[in-house]
Amino acid sequence: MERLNNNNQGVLSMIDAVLFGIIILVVTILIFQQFGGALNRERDLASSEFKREAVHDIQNVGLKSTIEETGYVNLSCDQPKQVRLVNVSVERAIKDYLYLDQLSQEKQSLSYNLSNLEEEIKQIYERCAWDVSQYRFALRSSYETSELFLSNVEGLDKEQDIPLERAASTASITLRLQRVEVTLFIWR
Amino acid sequence: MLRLKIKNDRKGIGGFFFDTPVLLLIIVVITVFTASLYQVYLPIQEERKRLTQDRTCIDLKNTVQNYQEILVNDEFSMEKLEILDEERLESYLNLDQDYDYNISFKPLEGDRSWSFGDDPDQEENSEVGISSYQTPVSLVDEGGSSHISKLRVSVWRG
Repeated sequence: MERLNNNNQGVLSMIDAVLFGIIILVVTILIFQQFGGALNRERDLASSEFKREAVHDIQNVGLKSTIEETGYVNLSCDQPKQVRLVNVSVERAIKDYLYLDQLSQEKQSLSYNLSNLEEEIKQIYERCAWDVSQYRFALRSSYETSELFLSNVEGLDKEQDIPLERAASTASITLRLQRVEVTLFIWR
Repeated sequence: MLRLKIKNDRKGIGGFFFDTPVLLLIIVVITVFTASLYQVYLPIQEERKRLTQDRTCIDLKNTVQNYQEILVNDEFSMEKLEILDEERLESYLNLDQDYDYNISFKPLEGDRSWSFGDDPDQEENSEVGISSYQTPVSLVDEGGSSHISKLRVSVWRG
């Protein structure tokens, strides 16, 4: 019986197979990366679309909502005078807040305690954003030099502190013939 | 160059026993490749279906928000919800036959609620589950007062 001559060139086919395996492995990794990346992009897009819809809905309902009873304290007189506001829209409450705050800045003789008004606006947005949709929120609006900024996050008192992964919606209202923007930010 | 060498590699032919490991290696590689592709393909298909379903859910929510039959001055009316004909709603929604849906309204205060469509809790669920979107809406009661309420739209493959 003749023994087969096992020349080392025959190992080439094994090397070829291993090479094939390595190429397939690389191709698989590339496919994983490509599909994974595309899927993540689609998921992010869908998530931001949801957030955009949500912020728009919350802003719409928030501004149109009615505050049954609120008010402010006029501290300009000798005796502080409680001013009651009944069945006012959030839009009107925001306008009142900005206008009275502006007045007290312009005239030293005028002073108002607007905390009740601010609290009621905050509660309405809290109900829309947090109670219904579990979003944290911040609301910012300004008129001349007065500014309203409120949030359901403790310690958050300026726009720069709002997380970047947020959605925003701006609505325009008119205060004494001036356009005033009310911007709502939401995030999770 | 390499190809030529292999083609002319007459000296390298060691018979069946020498080719078997190479053949096995290639079979294993191709099997692993096919299996991993399949493993990637399945979740991707599932995710795509889920994303399409999520979009259908958002579209349905927008359709409901524009349904004039239940709106009074851009706010949902409790009175109109009470008498809403489900068949008319369904034909207005014009939802893809593949999907089942549920639309519910619930004020944040009080016990009243309205639900239309199928019950999502009763469903033995499809592979991609239920897509739900919950948003605040304003509901006007019979006396004209507005109430902040939840509008929940759910969509799933029937």
